[in-house]
Amino acid sequence: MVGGLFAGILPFACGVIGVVLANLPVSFTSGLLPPPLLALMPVYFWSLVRPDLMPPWAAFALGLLQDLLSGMPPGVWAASFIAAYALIDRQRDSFAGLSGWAAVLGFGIVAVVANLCAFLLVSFYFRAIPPFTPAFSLLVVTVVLYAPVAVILAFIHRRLVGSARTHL
Amino acid sequence: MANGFWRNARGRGDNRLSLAAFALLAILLLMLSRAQVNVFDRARAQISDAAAPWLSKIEAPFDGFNRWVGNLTGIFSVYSENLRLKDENARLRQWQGAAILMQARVTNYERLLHAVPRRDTSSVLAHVIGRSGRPYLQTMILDAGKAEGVRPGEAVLDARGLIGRILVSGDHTSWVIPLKDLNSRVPIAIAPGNAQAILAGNNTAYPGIETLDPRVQIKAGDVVFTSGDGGLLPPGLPIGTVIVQANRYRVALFADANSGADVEVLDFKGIPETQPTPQATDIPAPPPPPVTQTAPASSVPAVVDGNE
Repeated sequence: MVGGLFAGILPFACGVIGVVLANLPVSFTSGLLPPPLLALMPVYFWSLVRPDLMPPWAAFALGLLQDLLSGMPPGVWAASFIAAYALIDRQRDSFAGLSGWAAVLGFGIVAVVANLCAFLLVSFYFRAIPPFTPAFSLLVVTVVLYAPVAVILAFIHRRLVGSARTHL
Repeated sequence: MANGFWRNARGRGDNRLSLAAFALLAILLLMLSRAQVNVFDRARAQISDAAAPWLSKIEAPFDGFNRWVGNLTGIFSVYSENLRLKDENARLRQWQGAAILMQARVTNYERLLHAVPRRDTSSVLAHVIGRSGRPYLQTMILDAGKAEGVRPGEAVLDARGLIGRILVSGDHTSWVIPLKDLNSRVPIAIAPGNAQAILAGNNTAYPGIETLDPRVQIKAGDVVFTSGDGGLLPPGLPIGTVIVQANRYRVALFADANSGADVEVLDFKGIPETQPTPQATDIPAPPPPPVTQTAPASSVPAVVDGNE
């Protein structure tokens, strides 16, 4: 285990790295697929295993950073991440009990909520319904990539962060 | 144990309160942004300015790969594509002759009419250092900013036509909003007939045509170019051709925002549109009082007899 302060900021740092990587203005697939919502993965993972290190303000800040770097109107991903966090917070016991592919499915449900929230807010903001296919592609890419990213996050959790010391 | 439950419940209660507060804050930010108070633009420009040296280095290998992937499908249709291009080239040469003839005629007419010469627009050549296609926003980042004379709203073109407009400009970088983006609205004219409309991005390859007068008839193959309305973009920039998709008019764009590496940013200073001074004649004259058919005999005599 590493020092307390470093371990404390590591979950949030994972989210920041996710936002930066997902918003590099470079397409790895020649524009065929949208970049995944990498920042949502640490929010889901850490708010289940160490909610004390991923409080609501961290989810909000990561959403706002996603808005800032992606060029979206400020508040769209911030509100979507908060909606996802609210679902995790409400169903924490159900989500925390999932493992294997069921855990991916659990993340899929949270990703659907976040993407649906973003879709509705964008529709409201631009007063036009955006095309469904790119939004669906974003959801699929994000859910598919959760499994390998979760392995990395679990490694960081085991080796660097550690389990919670309190019941909070 | 009981204490643990109490602490858990208290923690969740606190979470709910803070979640509601943050959700409210996010909605407030969104509404502020809707009211054109975009606090993020400057921060975005500063971030892209700071990241510009790395962006061009990161982009270089992927640019080559993406071009290779983009051309991969074209390999299988080289022969038919070559035939099509030869045919198109022959037709374009005919049109070139006609265009030269028309240009000479227009120049003659302008000289005869003593027309005010059109103002030349200066331009900046910029390199694309970043490009991203997200579901709700598609952007390009250029390596030219305010220091090079690039300002928000200016037109961005490649060799084929209009790509989009400058959204945000930093000191040495700028963000482009392509025509197909959901945010994009550009006043257009459709030839022949010079029908006026708005080209509205919809995040698909084919932006839609809005606010077209329903009495105007347009058809697939009509040419779309900027109308210059509003004075932000110069008139006559080529955009694309009209196509019909699912009984709706859309535009197949000439320029490809995904492939161009170098673009031109036009510095166009249009004459600002001023509202004409209201004149007294603008107000329609009040309607004449209704003429009474049967006037009373005592007031005005119907016929004046000179002998009386």
